[in-house]
Amino acid sequence: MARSRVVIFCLAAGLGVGLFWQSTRSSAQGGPTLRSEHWPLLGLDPHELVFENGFRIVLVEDHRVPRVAASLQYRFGALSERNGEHGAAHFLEHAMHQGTTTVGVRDRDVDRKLLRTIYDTEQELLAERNAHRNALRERNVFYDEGDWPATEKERRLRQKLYELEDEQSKNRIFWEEYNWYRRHGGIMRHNDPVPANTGNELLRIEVDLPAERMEIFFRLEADRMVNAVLRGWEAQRFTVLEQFFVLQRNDTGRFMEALNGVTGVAHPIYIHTGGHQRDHAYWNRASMLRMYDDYIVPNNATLLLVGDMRVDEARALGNKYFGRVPPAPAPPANMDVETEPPPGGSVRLDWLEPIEPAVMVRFRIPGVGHPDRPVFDVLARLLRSDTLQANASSSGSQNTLTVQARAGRDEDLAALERTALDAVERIRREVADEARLAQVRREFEFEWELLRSERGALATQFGSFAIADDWRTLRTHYEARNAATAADVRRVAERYLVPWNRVIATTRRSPQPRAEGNMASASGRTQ
Amino acid sequence: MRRLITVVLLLAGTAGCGKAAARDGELLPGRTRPLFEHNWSHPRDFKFSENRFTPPDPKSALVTTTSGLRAYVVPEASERVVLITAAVPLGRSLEQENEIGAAEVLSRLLSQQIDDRLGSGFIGRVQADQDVDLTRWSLQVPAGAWQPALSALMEALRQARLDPAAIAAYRTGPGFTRQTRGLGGPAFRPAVELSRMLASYPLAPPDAGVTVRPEAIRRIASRSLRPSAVVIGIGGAVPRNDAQRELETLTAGWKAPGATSDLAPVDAAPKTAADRSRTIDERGYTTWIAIGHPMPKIAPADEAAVAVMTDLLNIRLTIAVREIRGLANATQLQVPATTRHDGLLHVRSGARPESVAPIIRYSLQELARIREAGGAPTAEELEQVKGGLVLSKWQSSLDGVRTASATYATETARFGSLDRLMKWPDAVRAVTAEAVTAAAQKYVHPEMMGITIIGQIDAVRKARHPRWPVTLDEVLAARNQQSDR
Repeated sequence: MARSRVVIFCLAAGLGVGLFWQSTRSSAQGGPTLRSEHWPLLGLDPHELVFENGFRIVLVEDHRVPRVAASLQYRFGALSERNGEHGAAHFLEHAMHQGTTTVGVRDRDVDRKLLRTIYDTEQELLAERNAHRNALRERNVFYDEGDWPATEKERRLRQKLYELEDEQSKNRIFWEEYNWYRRHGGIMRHNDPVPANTGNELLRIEVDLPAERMEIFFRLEADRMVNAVLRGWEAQRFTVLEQFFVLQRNDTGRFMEALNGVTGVAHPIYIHTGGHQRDHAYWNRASMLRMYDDYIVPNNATLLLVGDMRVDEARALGNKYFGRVPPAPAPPANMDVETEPPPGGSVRLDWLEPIEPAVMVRFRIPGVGHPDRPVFDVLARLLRSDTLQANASSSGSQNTLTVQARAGRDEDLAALERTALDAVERIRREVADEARLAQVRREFEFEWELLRSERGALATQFGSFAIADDWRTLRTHYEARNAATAADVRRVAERYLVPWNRVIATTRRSPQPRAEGNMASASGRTQ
Repeated sequence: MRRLITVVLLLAGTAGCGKAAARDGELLPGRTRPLFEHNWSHPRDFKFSENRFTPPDPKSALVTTTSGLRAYVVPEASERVVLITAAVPLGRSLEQENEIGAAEVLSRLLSQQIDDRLGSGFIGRVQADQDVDLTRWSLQVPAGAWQPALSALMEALRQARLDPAAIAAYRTGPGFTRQTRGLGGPAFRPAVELSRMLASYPLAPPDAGVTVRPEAIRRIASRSLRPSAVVIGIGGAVPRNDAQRELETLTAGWKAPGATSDLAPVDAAPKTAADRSRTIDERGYTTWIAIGHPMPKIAPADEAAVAVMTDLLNIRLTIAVREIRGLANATQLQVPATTRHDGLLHVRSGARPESVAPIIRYSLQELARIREAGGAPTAEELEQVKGGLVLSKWQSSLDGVRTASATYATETARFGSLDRLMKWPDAVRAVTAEAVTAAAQKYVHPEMMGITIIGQIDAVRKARHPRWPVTLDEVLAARNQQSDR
């Protein structure tokens, strides 16, 4: 009896200790750290909540309209792709918007079985491809993007995958996540079911909802973060290919890809997010799921919220959803984002397909977070004139200052190039006019006020800084560019606007015809 | 005692399982992270408090000057960027006999004059948009600069300078952009070519190269640039009284620049082409498509049902073409931008050659299906679309004082009052499945549809999609048989 009592006591005590340990751990997991900031010059008071699993929420309260803009940003993009599978990051963005284990499916058991068969079939396809990889190289189809070699077994297995997907479609609820957003008043960037976009180092999902319905976003996106199911994969593969054709295979798309190529000297930061056409046949679920498991994790995500929400509400929803998602190992640190100037000096690109005539003079510049970067915003403004457009790019690590002049006729290109180079030389040699600097600062103030008053744009901008460096850099960047002096401008111009850091590109309406046999087939045939 | 021990053990086991389920959850094929087993409610089970959105009160915002000009002034001290909008009934649907192109020339001249008056030191943004029945100028300026901006805008509208040299130099353009790069905008070439194939001006843009006479511009200016026709919106950190005083000053003595004409605008006439399909060669990887027919102005009582039908068809078309079959990135149904004028109902898409014929086939199938009893919207579909129309589209048109002031001005210039806008949520919520079917039967006629295809025509004709096998000739022949019946 006494022994029994001891046993019961021990069990009860053990249970008590276990439950206590459990509850303190939960409360520690559920209690994010809060840090609030006051930015008087920018008129913002952002709050940051960091959850124990590494998930981060940045909130800017704005209670004028009862809506909230949400921008969920993952530090993941084309930079994370393997060679031969370029475009796969963007494709993953599509593939992970096809439902989860609880959304977008009628019968989970049927789905589970089909997923296994689909996966095994694809593995067989990959094994077949690997076994014949030498025979499958494109030796006889130079520059022909279409007639790709494949074995009979490969074709049969691909056909089987198509049929399995048709079977899977019968068990799907198409557009379910997107339709929940629509039904509850979501304002989305896109009219298609993927309210997201992917860059070289970011994947962002953005929805603006009535404040009282924000839980929908937390519920669906936390689920997507860990339980996404890549359904309708083959159909999405072709959808992504269509985007590639429209965005990347038009005349200016091809030119920009080439310009980025020579700017980055083959650095992966300049690989187009759409990838290469041949790669679309090599994308596969297995490597895509590896990327999903590596990068789409709470400790690699920041949720930017701007609108009618209070810190307590963000904390409560964060605790209930994203804060509960198990953390994962830190994502691979392979984002080598600094490009190096090419050895040997200035690069020139003369484009040989007809486009409207223009000259672009481009310089590599440091990225967001570098103390010189804000000065380039000023410098670009000062370079603008009736003839010249100038912009310092702000998209992640593709950091360039581009001076562009459009010509009415091909014959004017040489003079325009001289004008652009003279303007660059002047800004290196002469002190900027104070009146013009004051005008630039007024333009910055106006643009900041415009950005500050647009929920969605502000959330996106916070996210861009969070990915490029840190969301707090938004403050230092904007304040520093307003404080930049004429001496700063000259110092930065002298240091960076130099020939060995430069690319000059020209496009013509009537360029020299391309050599026979060096022409893309433009067939659009697909595998 | 044993029972007690069992209970305690079960409790202990359960306490540990909460974490074990998450840690050792099911692993889907290819995954390295286990599924996260959660008990989050499904979105269908969510209950939300009442939506708190209320648009700014238009009645208290409305200002009418002595000259008859109406303005909506929606003040908000914290909005340090002010949006000033001028909505003017000016577009090609309002042109009369011998006035082809006059609306576009006048809007260009006015845009230039607004820019000139704002001067080179202007800080802000200026945008001009022209629909077939309305032109809108939008000026976004710092709060401290709203008066000179408003003044520049009003003076340009009041004292329009009809520069003879600019008028003489003007020629109507092709009406479309080349090379086609996306589905958006009124300049999408397949839609422009389709409208020209099926109807005359003004449903279709005028032919390229037409000149405009100064008298035509004077006439249209006399109708459009009247204080009673122009409606202004001002949203931002502008006190209402200050804005009213400024508007009163700027419009003092403003009269219409001439006598108005009671002539009706030109009517579009349908064309009866023998073959209602047209192909145009254009280089590029993507072939672009428009499938549609002219659409008469929509009866006011049908507007909400047509809006529901349009959004519903857009979902269905995207699922049929993109989500299930991967034929194109996007397929959109478009109805005319303004419902009170004739326009073009059409589907737009663009894709690789092998996708073109299947896109036409499945688009026509979806357009036909919604007219049938079996294709009536489900309750679920209706809720999705209504939510989108009210909580998303309608709210975003009134989201903040700047947007609301612009929407009020546009709506009043176009429809004469805000009745339609303010009653829109109720009108949408009242739409039934039967009303959608009836709207589809009244306004959507697949058998009458023309088709334009612009792109790699040879490749399109030769192509047969391996998974959705149909050729262009087959799909066109089937369409012709249907329309012959």
